[in-house]
Amino acid sequence: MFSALITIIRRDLLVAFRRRAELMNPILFYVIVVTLFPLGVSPDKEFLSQLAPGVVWVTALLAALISMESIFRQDFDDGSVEQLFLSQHPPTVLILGKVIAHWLITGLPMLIIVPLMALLLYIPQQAIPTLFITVLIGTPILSLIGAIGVALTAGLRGGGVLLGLLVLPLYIPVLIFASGAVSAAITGLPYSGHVALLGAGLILALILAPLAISASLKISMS
Amino acid sequence: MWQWFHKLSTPKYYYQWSGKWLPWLAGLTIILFAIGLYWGLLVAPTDYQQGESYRIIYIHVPAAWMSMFVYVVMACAGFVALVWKTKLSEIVVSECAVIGAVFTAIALITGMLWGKPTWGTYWTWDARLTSELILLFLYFGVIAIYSSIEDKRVAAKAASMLAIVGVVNIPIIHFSVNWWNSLHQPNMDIISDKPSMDPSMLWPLLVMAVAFKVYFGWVLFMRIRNEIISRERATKWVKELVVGR
Amino acid sequence: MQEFFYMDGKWMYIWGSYAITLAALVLSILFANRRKRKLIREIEDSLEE
Repeated sequence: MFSALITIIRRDLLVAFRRRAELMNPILFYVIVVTLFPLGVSPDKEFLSQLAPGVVWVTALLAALISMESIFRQDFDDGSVEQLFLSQHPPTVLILGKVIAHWLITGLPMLIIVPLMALLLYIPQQAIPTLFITVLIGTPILSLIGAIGVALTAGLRGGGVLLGLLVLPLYIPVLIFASGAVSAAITGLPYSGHVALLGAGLILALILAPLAISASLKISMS
Repeated sequence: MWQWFHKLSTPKYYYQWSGKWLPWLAGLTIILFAIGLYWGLLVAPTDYQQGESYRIIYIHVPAAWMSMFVYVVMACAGFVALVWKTKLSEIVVSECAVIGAVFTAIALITGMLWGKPTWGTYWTWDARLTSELILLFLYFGVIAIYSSIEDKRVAAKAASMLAIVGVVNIPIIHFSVNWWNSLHQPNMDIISDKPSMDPSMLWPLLVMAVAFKVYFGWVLFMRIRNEIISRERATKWVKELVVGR
Repeated sequence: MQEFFYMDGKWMYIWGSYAITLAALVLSILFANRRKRKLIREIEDSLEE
């Protein structure tokens, strides 16, 4: 079972690396949207650092959302989604593998540009580790929940806006706890409570989301 | 008992069965609303803190209760629809989504109209108003996915799935919003729904709550019946029904 | 009587919220009724053809 998980992760990573140019797109989107905030609101240092946790995380939600669509798109078009259910391994494990692979491609790069975002938005240095941790725990939750929405809308054309409507309300707890942790770290308050809740959310999502994704894929295929 | 449930879940039998209930539900709704409104608006005393504007409670709170109740009903029907694949429960999901969204919108609008005289502003990011707003978004999601999938049986299943995911998330969202609110809004003069509400004010509220529930049954039955006719229009019993009128 | 409608000067908010609620509830019923009539007419038309 574990080897099946590894195999599917490796396969998906290989497919993704064949189209390297696309790998950069979510990151670029992320950087550009973050750049818009100082331009649209105010470049004032004090003000921006207060706004920063929200900006970083709202943008992360949007970036996760737009990159989410690709997770099952290709498999749906070439019919390999059906293979997931015909395999001898439980479909939830294979689906979990697909989500992990997708997160490695789209979520992990966010960790790399987080210091850059902190620089652009004047997040004080003491809060950067917290920002790191929240991104590390929070973005997998976004991928897991987002995959449910994608699985439900997979059969539809132009499901992008619809996906946002379905998934963004479900992202709200992640937004609250993650940006709350960063805000707390900036003002020097304890933030372990936020992070613990975020971790609990990740565990819950890891257990429940694969079931929901597999049920949703079955619905979309019928 | 099980057999009866099974029979009830066939559209034709349900149509006949619910037809007998409709006039009773309609009558009961009107009577309960008449009692509740009279009691709440004329008999119940004025609140010593808020004055008359507290009277919005008699529609705001029942609507807010219903907004959550209908979501649970919808998710349960969705569960039945996915496990036993009965047509009737699929219809219940899509119809509940619309009715629930209406209740949620009522709760929000009356909450805003209550906020103006008590807080001095139509909107505050109070935990309960915020949760209610997010609940409305969740309803919109269910309605959106149902209406964007062409095949209505697949659409109902997708909507059911989303409703179930939503119902698992609602406690988490509720908790997170409360947490967030306690961080950002210290000591705001919130209308506390005191558990020790005076009976003279509480009774009309309970009557209104029951009135809203019966109303929900009434409108849900009507909408389900319409959807049954619409989906089964090609069958013999619907044609006979139309001719026999 | 006038006092009742005046509601301490809060009449706009109180009667406004009651009016909106009742309108929404009544309209929901009326729409459901209208849809039923429309459906039955449609089926009748299809039977005559």
